[in-house]
Amino acid sequence: MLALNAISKRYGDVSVVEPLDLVIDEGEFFCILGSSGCGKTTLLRMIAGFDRPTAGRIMLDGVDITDVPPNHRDVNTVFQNYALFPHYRVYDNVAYGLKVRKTPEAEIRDRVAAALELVGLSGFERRMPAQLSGGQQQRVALARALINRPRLLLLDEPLSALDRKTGEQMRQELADLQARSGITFVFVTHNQAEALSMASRVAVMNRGVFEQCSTPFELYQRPQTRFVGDFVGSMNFFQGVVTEVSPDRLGVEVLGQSRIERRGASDLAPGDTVVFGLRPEQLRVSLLAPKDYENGFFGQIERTLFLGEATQLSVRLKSGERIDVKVPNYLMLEDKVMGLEQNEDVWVVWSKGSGVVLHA
Amino acid sequence: MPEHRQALLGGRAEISILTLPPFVWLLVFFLVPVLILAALSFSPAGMTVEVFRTPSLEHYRQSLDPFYLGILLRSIGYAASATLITLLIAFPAAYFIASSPPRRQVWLLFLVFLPLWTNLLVRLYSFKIILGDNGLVNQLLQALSIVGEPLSLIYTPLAVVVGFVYWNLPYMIPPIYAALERMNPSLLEASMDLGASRAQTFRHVIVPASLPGVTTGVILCFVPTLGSFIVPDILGGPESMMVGNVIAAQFGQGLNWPFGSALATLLTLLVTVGVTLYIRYGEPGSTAAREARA
Repeated sequence: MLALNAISKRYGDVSVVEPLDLVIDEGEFFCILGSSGCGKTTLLRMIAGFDRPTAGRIMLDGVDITDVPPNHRDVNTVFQNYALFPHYRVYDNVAYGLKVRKTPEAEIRDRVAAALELVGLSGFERRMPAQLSGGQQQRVALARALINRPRLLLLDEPLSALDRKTGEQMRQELADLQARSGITFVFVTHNQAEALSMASRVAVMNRGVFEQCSTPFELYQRPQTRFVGDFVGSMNFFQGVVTEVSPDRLGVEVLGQSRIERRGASDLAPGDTVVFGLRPEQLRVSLLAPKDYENGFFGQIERTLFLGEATQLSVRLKSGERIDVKVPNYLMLEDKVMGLEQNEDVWVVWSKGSGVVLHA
Repeated sequence: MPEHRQALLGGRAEISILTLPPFVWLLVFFLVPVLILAALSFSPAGMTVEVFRTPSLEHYRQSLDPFYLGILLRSIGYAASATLITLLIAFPAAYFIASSPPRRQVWLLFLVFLPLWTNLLVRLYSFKIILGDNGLVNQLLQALSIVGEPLSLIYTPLAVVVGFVYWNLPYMIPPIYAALERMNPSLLEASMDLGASRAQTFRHVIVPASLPGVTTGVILCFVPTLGSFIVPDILGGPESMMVGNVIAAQFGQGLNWPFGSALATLLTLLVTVGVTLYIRYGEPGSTAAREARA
């Protein structure tokens, strides 16, 4: 439905968005995830029509809209700071798009009522924006955009100004709203939890390029680059060398002492240098040496960090490297993880199937 | 005043002490003279104690003479048209300044205020050079063969209004600039995003955002213009006399202070009532409009 063809943006010598291609399908909840300055907002502004791409074309339903001004695009935006008109009541804010298109008054009234009901704000018609909470302003901004029944709804970090609880509640509501309205959403955020919980597909953006574009599950379980593994969730990285490649097995030697086996075909050959990544929650600590379906490193607990639902242990390996292990807190005895003390010697253990092998 | 503000500023007694000097100043140099003027307007003749024994409404009766009412109406007409033209010039200027890069805004505002460094009298005399029969405008028009004979520009109502517009611009641009500068620029994008054209965005977003500044600017221009006597005195002819000239004459050559006082009191009342009504009902950002919305 929306296709970006080799679209890029430069400001003088500074490249903000490198030429990139993207196709978004009808009814998708597409998320662009990246840290500030990665080019995600610029990309969104080019789709909305506020910024002109330096090169490349934007196609909506097969029509080239690259040169179409924002007021003639069938695209609406929910702005980061909501950008509600402060001098208009909620009713007039929501009705704005219909009014400027000279919609009959009776139809406006019905559609505003329906839009406000959709976002759960019936009865707020006569309030001024300044009299609303952040979450309510957010809903007004949503209603104001959705009432125009756009082909595409763009959302620029809409939840980042809300407190955590309200933000989490809005995630659920946004996902529901998207499913009910059937409108294609393109959502920009720096918050990985928002991206993973709402999106049908996520593109991780870094320095103007897409590092990876896949479902949230794929993104988290099978990151394709070191950046993605580190940015989405967290990951321990090790240098490794490929020792064995067969259709159903990949052997990697890490830190010269452990043979790691992992399923998965790849274009690697024995002798290649690779990066091996393990998520902290894929690891556990043990006083016993690993069994034969497991791999393990031996080290000493250096530091513990209480996170609420889990505790993070930093274990210093014999080789000098540090590895983070996340242990669920249902395993706690008193306030110690499995009764373990700082400076105690432990095994860090994981199953041979865990971990990802990435190109160095 | 909210409690925390009061705590910050100190107790009620401290606030009273701090506000005492300006209060005394206004009492001595504003309120007392106004009251003396008002009392004087009821005096039968001259500045005497007679006013308390035999107060007279003679000067008010005289003020309502059609001749003086005509001058008052003309003054309102001049002030209104000068204010309107000033607004039409100041708005785009203020918009331009507000949408410039921040560093350039400082310089542009500096240029707006620059004329105030020179005395108004001097600046008005320069208009004689510009608008005179052999002035810049006429020479230019003749050089371009647009007119044969020089136009009589100086000493006309036109010259007076031009003078007023020039005088008022530094007072109209800053408040409108301040209002536009406070506006969230993403409101413009939101408006376009929702399908509004540039003209619709101007009408529905920019104009409402500018209204507090426009109100301030209009009052700052209209009120001094209505009572002005310097501008019509220097640039106007006999037929462009304004109420300010009449009042000034009563205190000067006419030596009829009670009549001048009556005119001045009437003018003050008129302005006070007018401005109050304007702030309350005059425009969409007014108190009444806000209350109606709430």
